[in-house]
Amino acid sequence: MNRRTFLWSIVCLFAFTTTLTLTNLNRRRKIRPPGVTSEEEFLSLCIRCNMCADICPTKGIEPDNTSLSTLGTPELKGYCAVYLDLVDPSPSKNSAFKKLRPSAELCFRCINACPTGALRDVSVKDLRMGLAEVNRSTCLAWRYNICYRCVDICVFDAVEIRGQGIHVNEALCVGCKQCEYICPVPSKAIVVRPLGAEELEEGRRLRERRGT
Amino acid sequence: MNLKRLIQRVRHLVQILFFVFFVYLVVGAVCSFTVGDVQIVEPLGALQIVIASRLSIPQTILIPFLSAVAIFVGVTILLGRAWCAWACPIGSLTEFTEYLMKKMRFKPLLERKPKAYAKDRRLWGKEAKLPTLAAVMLSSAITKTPAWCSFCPIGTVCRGSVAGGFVAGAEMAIVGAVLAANTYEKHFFCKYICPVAGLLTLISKLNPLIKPRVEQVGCRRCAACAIICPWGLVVCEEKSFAECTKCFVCYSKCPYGVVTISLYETH
Repeated sequence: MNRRTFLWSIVCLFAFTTTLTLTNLNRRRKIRPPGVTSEEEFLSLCIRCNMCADICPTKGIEPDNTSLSTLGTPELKGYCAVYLDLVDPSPSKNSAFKKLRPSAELCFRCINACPTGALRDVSVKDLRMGLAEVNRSTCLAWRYNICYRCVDICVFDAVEIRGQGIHVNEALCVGCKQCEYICPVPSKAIVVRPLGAEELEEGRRLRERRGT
Repeated sequence: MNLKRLIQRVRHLVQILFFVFFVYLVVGAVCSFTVGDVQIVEPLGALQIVIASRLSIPQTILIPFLSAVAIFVGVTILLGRAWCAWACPIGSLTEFTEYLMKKMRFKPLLERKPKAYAKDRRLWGKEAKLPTLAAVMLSSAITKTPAWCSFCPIGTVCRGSVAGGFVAGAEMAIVGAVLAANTYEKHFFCKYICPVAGLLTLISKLNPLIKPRVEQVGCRRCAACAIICPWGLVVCEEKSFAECTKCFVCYSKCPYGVVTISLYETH
């Protein structure tokens, strides 16, 4: 290695780290595939091979191409199949499934496929990808007392009918996005939003207290 | 058709097959893919996440992960950098671009000025990809993410099929820049920047098999091999063939036909 190639390496290093640091600022939170317990740990282990995106039965996982530093990392843009046979969610199918199987399961194909352990092997109890939120001004259940499709679809019974409208039980919701997928309102009255690190921790504690 | 032409035809066929395999058929990308039950992980990505995560890979995944890396490393020790000339999707695209350039009679800019070319060789030394490799390692240690993987054009091409379409958005620019660099010099990205090639060069220093050999009797020291070789190796003077990608272009195109391939050779 001569002096010029050494200088070239220094330039490379600075260019790389500067771009990455700049693009890391103000990063939008994203909904990750199941098995991500901390965003930093996930980003340090993911080699962007998109095995999970290829193997996902619903094709809900897609590579993210919005930010340069996380280019190619998987993001849950569609929805997570809760029962494997339930690739296309529909309320009637889901209700039948609920009766047949007492406890909900996720297919976890992405976790099994991940070569580096960026998606950790978690149980459904610890799983949390996001949290559903109801927009009361557009939700048909709140406005006209009709629809309730999200209540039907939720295998975790996290969307409950309480009082005059629907509420999301924060301790039960894992953020599988099926309710968002099935919502008939074009602008989606129930939306899953990504969680911050503190909220993830809080959700885990809440669940432990409930003993679910 | 004689063997010299046949071997290049076979190589291009293998390249096309691997391209279709990696971009459209395989589960995952080049970085990590499964063939049946066997999982293979590319060593640069593996090295980066080991550095970035500071060895916090889960215990349960460690053994399959290491064996998946070992397969790729083992193949590299056996076959040298054959990956670059026979399988790499970006290598195939680069060669295709150069084929188109040749058809259009477009000469790379650097080759038009031989003097500047000779001078530039000092700046862009062949070993420039080793410092890039070091820079990638340091970057991943500082930023705690596998920094190169986001930008890697090889992974980008393979991810394109998952993203729908060939390549999408910002990724188009990455592959475009790599291919556009060929108008400056042949194999620009592969020769000077690609850290995967750098890592494979380091590993293939252990490789003893399949090396080009020049018969000293017929060789006229014209150094045409340096221009013929996509990697700029002066085949008639080269001692260690760690850079050799086993593309056999020197064997096919030596004007005096004195390059032969020796299966096993010790230095």
